[in-house]
Amino acid sequence: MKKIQRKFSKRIYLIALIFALSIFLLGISVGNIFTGYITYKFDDNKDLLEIQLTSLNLKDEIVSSSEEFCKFGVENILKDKYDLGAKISMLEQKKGKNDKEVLIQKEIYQLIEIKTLLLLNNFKEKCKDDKVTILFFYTNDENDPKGSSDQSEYQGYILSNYYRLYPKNYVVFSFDINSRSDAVKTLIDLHDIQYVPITIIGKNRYTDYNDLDRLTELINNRT
Amino acid sequence: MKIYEILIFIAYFISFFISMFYLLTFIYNNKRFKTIKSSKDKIYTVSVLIPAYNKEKELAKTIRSVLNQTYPKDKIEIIVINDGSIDSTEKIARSFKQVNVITKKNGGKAKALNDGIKKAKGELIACLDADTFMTPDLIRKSVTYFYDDDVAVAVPTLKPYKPRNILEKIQVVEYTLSSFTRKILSFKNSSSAAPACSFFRKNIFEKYGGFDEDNITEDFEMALKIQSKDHKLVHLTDAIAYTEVPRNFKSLFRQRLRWCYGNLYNLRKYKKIFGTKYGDFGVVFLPMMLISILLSLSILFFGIIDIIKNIIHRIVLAYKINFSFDFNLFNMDRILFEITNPKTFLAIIIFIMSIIIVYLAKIYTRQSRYQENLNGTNISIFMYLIYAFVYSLILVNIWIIAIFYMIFNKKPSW
Repeated sequence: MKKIQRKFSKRIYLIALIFALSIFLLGISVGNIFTGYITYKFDDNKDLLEIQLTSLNLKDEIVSSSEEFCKFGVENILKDKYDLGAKISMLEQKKGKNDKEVLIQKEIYQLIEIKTLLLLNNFKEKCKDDKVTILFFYTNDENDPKGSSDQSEYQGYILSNYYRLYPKNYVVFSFDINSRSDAVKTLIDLHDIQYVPITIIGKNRYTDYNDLDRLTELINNRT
Repeated sequence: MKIYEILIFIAYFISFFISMFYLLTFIYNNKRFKTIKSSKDKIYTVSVLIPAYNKEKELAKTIRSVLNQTYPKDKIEIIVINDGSIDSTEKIARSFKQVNVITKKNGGKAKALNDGIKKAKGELIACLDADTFMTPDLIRKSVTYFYDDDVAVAVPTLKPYKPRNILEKIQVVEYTLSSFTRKILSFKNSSSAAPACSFFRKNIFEKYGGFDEDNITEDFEMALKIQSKDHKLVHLTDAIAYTEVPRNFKSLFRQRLRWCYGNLYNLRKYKKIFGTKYGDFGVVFLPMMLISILLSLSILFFGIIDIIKNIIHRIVLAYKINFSFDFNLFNMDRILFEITNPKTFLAIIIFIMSIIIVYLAKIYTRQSRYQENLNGTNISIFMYLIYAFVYSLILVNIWIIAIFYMIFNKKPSW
């Protein structure tokens, strides 16, 4: 019985390697194209945010002097704000909280929130609407000396859920304490926000984290 | 990018490479899948050794499967080695007048086989587990491979015998895939398996000694020994034996722990075969086997940590809102957005390639479509999905336990 001659099948490995590499790169490229196509809807979000901001400004100008101001309502702009916020939240989960695109979109979104807040306040005043406005200040920075990002996340999640459950009664406006936008900074100064998370319900402000039951209690006993 | 994501990309690339290698080698050697046609008409004497320990339920069927061979009866010697059974194994063996019975104290399968080899008169030795059944033309087909003077060992395809429950049916996928890939590896002299039904030239044992009696996977050890001596080990996809496989998870776990531990132990014992001297076997297959195990374990480890962290995070968030879930979270747009990434596409390609390999394995290792339906060894896509996404993930964990057994010098029991 003869012994076998051991060989190293260079040719077949080389061909397998070329095929493997081609399929691998093709898979990544096709994957990237499809990912790009899917996330395009969300990158496109930036345009939508800018359109929404301009639209809010124009709407304000059109309706504020109108005698039929109350007829226009605010439900649509609140719904749009919620949908845009949900998209940014998804994008944040996919790309990370520190992604440049996400940060830019968040800055524009916060401006929309401020404009919506001003419109809402005007609406409430003129049209006797009793919707509860909740302002929420948070941080995403894990090492922020101004507060805990974990508690901010939990509090934000509870508040979003609150709006989801009772969209007709409550509106939540969330602001990042580290926002670069001058308008947001002004709002932070106006409310003298030093630590986060802070939840402002009506005229009352609540520091630290409040669980769902406590928050419900605070909302029900608001002044 | 997280560590386990990088590992996943490496694993994907290795999977592509291995799959391409299998497919290309299959294409190059397609015609060599069937029995060798030879001008030789030598009829070897075959000694079939059946070590048996408390196998009263299966032994008669095993012996009958040998007696029903289409190979000349006077050229087949059957030796049952009763390894200290306390049931009626010996009585059953002695009830067949064509069977020689060796009775000994219980000492393990390897010792039983060595005792059988000493008594065997055949030029070829077939080692057959007492719960493994030969198809009628198995010996005739297997013997033809020894017409090639280089062949030292011939290993027929092994499939589960009449699988009933889901665990046995999943093992049909596993056994079919193993037989096919081993056949491909044997084209590169890189197969290292000689399981429940294998044929050896007798002079192999005379030259290099018998089975390692202290080894819990003596068949794997023997295959590595033969590879280390540069002899040819071939796999047969046209000769099929059926074997009883574990019916419940507990016995499957014990069997696989023994196999995993045995593989690690024997790879350490034969570490000299890693390297250029052993060609494809030493440079690509053995290292690739170890890398695949380590990579699977690392991905599992880091992946599980990540998944657990994610699940805990989501549970905490759900708890914060008294588990009043936002079902909007599960809308199609969101799901599509979350799963669409290059990793998903690579996984889809690997899945398609694996389906092609399983299909080829199914076609090239079957006795006949009729027999396949009769034995219930047909592979459905459902079984393959469970095999790929559940069974394999569970089994890879057994490697972790086997590694711990190795580290703490503990030997799994039979």
